[in-house]
Amino acid sequence: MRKIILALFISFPVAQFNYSGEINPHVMTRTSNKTQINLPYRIVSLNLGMTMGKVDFKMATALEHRNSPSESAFDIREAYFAYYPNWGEVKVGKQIHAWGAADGNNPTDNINAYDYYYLFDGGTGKKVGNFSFSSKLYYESFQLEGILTPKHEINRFPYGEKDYPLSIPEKPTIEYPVENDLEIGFRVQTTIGESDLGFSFINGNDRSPSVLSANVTVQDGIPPVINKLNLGYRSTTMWGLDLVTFFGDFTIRMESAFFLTKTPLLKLKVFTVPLDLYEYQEEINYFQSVLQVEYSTPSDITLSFQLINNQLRNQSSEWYHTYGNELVKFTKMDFQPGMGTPFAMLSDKALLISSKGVLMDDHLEINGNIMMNLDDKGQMIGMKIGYSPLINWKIEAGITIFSGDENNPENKFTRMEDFSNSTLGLVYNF
Amino acid sequence: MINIVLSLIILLSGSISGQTTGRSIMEKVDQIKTPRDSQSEIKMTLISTRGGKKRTRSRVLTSIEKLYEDGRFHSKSLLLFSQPKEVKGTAFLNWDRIGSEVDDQWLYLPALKKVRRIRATDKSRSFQGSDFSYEDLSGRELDSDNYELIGEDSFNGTQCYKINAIPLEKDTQYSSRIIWIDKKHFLMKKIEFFDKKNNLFKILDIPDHVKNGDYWTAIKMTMFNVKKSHSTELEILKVDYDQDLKDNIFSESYLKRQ
Repeated sequence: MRKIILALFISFPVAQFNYSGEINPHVMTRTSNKTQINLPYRIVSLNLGMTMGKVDFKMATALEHRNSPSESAFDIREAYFAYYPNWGEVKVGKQIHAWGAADGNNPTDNINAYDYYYLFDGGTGKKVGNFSFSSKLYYESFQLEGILTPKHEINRFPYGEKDYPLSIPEKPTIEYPVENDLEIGFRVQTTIGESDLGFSFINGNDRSPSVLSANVTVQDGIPPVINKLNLGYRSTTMWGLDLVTFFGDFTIRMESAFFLTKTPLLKLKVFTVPLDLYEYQEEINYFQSVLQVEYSTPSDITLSFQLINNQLRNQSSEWYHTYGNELVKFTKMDFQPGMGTPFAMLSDKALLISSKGVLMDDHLEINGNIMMNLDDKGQMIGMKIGYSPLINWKIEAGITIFSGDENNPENKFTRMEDFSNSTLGLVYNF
Repeated sequence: MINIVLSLIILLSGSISGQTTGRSIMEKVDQIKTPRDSQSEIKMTLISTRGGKKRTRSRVLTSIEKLYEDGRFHSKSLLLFSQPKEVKGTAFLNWDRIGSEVDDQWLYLPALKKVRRIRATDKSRSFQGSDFSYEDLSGRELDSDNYELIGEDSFNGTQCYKINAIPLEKDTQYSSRIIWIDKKHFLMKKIEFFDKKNNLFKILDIPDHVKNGDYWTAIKMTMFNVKKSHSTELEILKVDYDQDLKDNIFSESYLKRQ
């Protein structure tokens, strides 16, 4: 025992601690009537780290705050150990993984679930940490990464948030929890000439629920009446491909993912199956891609163009009566992807143009972006200015305007119109 | 690309025998022994003056560099930003490959938790918004210029040779540079950069050097952009040489760990 303790002290002679974070109080105001949009946001973020030889411990925490009524909640977003041998890295704990070549919208980035409160966050702020074991091997120009996730994590949706236009009225009951929580993912990346090419694979479960069965009253002569929809999670497999290459002064980042999703076999207790239960079996494949072209001007203003595509390729589905084990002709359910970029919730095809510039010796930062829905009417225009009068302090002001189709209230951008907002905040980094 | 420390702050002394020419003086400067690797903490201050009011903004970064003799790379370097706190953890990796016109570069942004392969920047562009261009920081080969000894001058009380260096290649933003070389120790003390129209473009002052082990270190240097009336000061807060840095420091894995 004493030898082990001695060995530990020899291996980890000095532990180095570090911390960083930000305090970011801000208000979001609706542009239409100047009322406050009252959603929770991370008012304090604190990252802690400890290094002991080849081992790190990292923790990312946040204090989530709602202005009215004033309430706060502490969240440990990540807490994991990382070991760095000469050949690569091994990590265990609650962590956020980042896959994919594109910025912000990544069809292949599906190891973690998403937090829809932070959908417009450009970084890992919009992801939910999950407990996982991951390992990455670096060999010559190859990187091989494997990830195991023993517990199924789901997206965080804003339920019953009257200020969030795409909110779901209330948290649904999940009738069919996932039977097999274990999820696996791996990714291989290599460099060919000036290009980086990656292949990725994930086998897991959807992050958002789907209809797996329904209690339906069927009577002769009248259409079937759905009494209750029963939710669960489909099993989904993803194959992804990503590429970074250069063409003159332009950087090209491409990313695409093919998904195959299936309704799992429901484990029902034979003698307790209600007579009005109808199971919904479906098998769907869909495809998502992002093509990003970026360019930096001589004055270091970065311009980025993203073409985002979400395509349902094939949907085969059928309803059958569980008790009678016979097919019935009920209406097909609308398909919503349970994995992939959350952007697919807004549009199936869109162009996103963004720019970023830092001026006046880091005192002024300007960000602008335009999102155009190419599939239907709708666009979003946003601009954000940050002014830093003192080092580590910044005043931020931004505006985001959504416009949809006045003749189509169901258009997602139309529904987002009332979410058009201006923000004003203070940031202190430490 | 960013041999900040090695190319700019390391200078050794030597002596000249025979006829003194611009070329012979620069050969002495070129014969300076450089360390195998270095690690330095640098404070970079951007200084602008508007309406008579001086405004400054500082950054602190760590530069780690290693020279290679394996036939594959000239050098590998790493920049780790620690100030301002907003950019803490941002890291920049550069591999200068032999036989390749452009360097391999990666950028790690903590907010994305992702190492991004990035385009090697045009060497005439500003380095991180400063008055130094990537070309200024990359150093030059002896045979890249023609040298002419144009006289002697005093700089901060130090007697210097004045040499006009005219580039042989067209792929540079300068038409010429006038270089002040300390006559005693052969240290670069000042450089005036002239643009393609032969107008004075920038002035680099390197007033102070200290001897650190086997090597002289320029502890402070200021680049003044005449056109923009803007300057950048680089101050070396700490430097270590020849630490036998391991290769895995210059890797994606190490970028993410910072």
